Amino acid sequence: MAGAEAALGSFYGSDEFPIEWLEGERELLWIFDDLHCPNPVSPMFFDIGGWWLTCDHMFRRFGTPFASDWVMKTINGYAYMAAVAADPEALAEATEYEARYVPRVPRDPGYPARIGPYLGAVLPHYALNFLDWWRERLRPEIERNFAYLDGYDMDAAGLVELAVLLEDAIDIHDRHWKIHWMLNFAQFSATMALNGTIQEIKGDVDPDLPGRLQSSVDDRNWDSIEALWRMKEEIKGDAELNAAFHAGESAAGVLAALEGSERGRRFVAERLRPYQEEFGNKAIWSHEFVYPTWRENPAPILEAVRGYLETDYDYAAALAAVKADLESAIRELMDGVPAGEGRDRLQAALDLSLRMNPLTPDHHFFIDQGTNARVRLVLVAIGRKLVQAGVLDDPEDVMFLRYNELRALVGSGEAFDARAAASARRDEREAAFAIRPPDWVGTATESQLAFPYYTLWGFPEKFHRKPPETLDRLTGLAASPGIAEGTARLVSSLEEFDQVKQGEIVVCRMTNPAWVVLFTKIAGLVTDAGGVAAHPAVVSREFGIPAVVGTSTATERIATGDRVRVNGSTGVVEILS
Amino acid sequence: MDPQVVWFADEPCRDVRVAGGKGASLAAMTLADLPVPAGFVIPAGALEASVDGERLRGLTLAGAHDEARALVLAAEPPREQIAAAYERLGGGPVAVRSSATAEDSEAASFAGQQETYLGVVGAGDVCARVVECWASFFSERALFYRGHKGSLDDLGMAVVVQRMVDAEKAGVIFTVDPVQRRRDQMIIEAVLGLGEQVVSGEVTPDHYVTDRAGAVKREQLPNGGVLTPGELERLAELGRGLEEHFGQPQDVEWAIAGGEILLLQSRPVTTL
Repeated sequence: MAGAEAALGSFYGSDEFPIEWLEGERELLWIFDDLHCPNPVSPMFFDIGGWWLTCDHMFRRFGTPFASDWVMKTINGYAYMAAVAADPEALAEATEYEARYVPRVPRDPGYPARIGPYLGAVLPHYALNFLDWWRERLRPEIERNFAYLDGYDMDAAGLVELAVLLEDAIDIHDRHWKIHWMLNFAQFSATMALNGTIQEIKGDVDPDLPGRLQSSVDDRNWDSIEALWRMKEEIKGDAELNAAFHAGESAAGVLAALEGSERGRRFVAERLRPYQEEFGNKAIWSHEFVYPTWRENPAPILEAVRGYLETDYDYAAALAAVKADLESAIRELMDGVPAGEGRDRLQAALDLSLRMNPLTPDHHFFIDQGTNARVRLVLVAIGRKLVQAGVLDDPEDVMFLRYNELRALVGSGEAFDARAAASARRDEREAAFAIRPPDWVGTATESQLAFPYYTLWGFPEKFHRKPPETLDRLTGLAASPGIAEGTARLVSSLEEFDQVKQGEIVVCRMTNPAWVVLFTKIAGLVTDAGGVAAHPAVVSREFGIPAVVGTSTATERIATGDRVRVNGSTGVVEILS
Repeated sequence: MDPQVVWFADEPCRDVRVAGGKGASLAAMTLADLPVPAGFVIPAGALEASVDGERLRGLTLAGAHDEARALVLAAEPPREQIAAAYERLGGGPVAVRSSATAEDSEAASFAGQQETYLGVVGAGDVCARVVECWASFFSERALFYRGHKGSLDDLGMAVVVQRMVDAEKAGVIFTVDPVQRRRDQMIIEAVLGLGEQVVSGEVTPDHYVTDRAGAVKREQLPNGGVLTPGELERLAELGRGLEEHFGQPQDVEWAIAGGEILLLQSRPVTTL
């Protein structure tokens, strides 16, 4: 049992970050899920949207000896996760729909030791067969579910009908996430097998090589990029469309210009709308319901096309570069391996792993993005009905209710004051942005830190690392919500755009429409000038990039290379050590 | 002959084909008894009556922007009517703004078709600015844009002349919070003096996030607190009224002069 093991560290709360603990929770290591939910999580997403809701199924199906469930807890608005050991004595009291809940583990102290070999026996079978299941059975199943939800006339449906449709959407969500975990295990197994074979046959290789062997060159992500590129080519060759794309200061302006001419309207109807239908089932953060999808608001699509126009993006060249790198990585791996049984095994492990590469972008497209987006659309449809019924002012308020509160509201519009509840929760979420959530809380032990998936979150390294200190802090206007941390890059003119790297935080006096290319690659923005309706603020919101504007002094106080943290929800920029 | 000046309170001024988008909006707000500073519009037809319309159209269609501009700059505006209206407005400083009749006025503004001149004094200067507003419609960029829209023969550009308020305070209201995408709260920004500085981003304004009643939820006051709680409440009330009047969230420019709140402009919020 976890409690018997020596604690390497513990944090049970402080004045700045108070934590309420239920029985059994303190003994676990809770890690901040900044990978999926870096922002404070909405109540509705926490209740029905999370990736963690089907993890008990995953651990049971695979017979993992290291865990029986993965549970989640919101602390001061943020999502924290803990792996629960496959130990019948571990009594974690996780909150699922605010009900008592204990993971399913056989009452057998020897279970973890006995079930391990089962996992070892079945994993290769998943690795070998999963791609066929995906193509022939699972992806068609997902597409059928999507066709059902997409074809549903939600405007014509009544509130009760939509409430039941939401239950179907939740079932679909949970089923797709079960598929997600199978896919994950199968892929994990294929990658482990390849890396093991590489180690055995070749010994140590360039540490970048395994990553390069994972590149995908044929998937829905490339399809969506190709479609954007086709739009760009069409615009480039048409003076009228070109004028419209250069007329607007923001995506809203471009859309207005397009709607102002017959040619533009045709482009919207024949290119933009179909793109939204096919590739728009995603939002800036997939693991949340509060952000509009591209299907609802095409601003990110128009901005992406504008960026492609500015750089004259070459799809074929970009794809060819990825292909060339993959081929060279394959050559690098196989070069010098003598013919024989060893080479054959390496080749077989490589072939299997390569075949699975498209599963990474494709499962994001179908599950993380596509499935969560469709649950959101049902929730928005319910929100509209509640607005029509005079129960709410904004359809989006639904995301700020708990799942069971929403159902109570379907039962009776007078169940409680839903407006006040949504407003208060929105206040809580905004206030939560001012809190800096610690990387982990609870009790850290050797075995908890060793949970294999945690490397994805940077653990155990993060546990041993000292968190950065704040050296300086400046305040501006909160212009585009969210938090971004990265390296600062001062930019004062168009000539300096080439120096800006993916994921950097741009610090400048002001932006204008020619700067759109920058927005396609930066993680955050800080300006000296402007208010919440000025260009940098509007375009940052369209791109979903955290931004602080109107700081007056950012370009004097921040230097290129500084580590900075931009809080676009509170308007605070911190310079970190 | 068509009238060469229409007042915000006159019925024809509500027609966007006569007064352009900006003029018609001011007329509609005047009709709704909203506190709009008084003013008048030189209607869209006046330009054609002041020049050789046929020749101008010919130059425009040929893309001869320099010649077209020269022709317009030599135009003789209805001076007497403008001077009489200016006197009736009380003399003193006015704002002169172009007001396009095109549907997509937002895009038009980026194509450089929207001119604004502030603090114009004297009938002679007002007439000169009216002509310059007309000329802006025939810049290379404007013609290029209208050329692609296939509306080159459209000469429909009105000009708004409006009394300038001697503002003690000015700023903007967003009747919904476009940053947090919340309909249950507003954003009010304010500076001391003229509001143009807020819109252009030259000065960092005091920034208030309020509830729908104007009670402050959060504030950042680089100017030390420009607005009183009472003013915030009255501005929120104005915002709510405009939202109801136009049936959608509004982005409002306002000023306070002599303790009175004045409404300068109200446009739909497009980014929510």
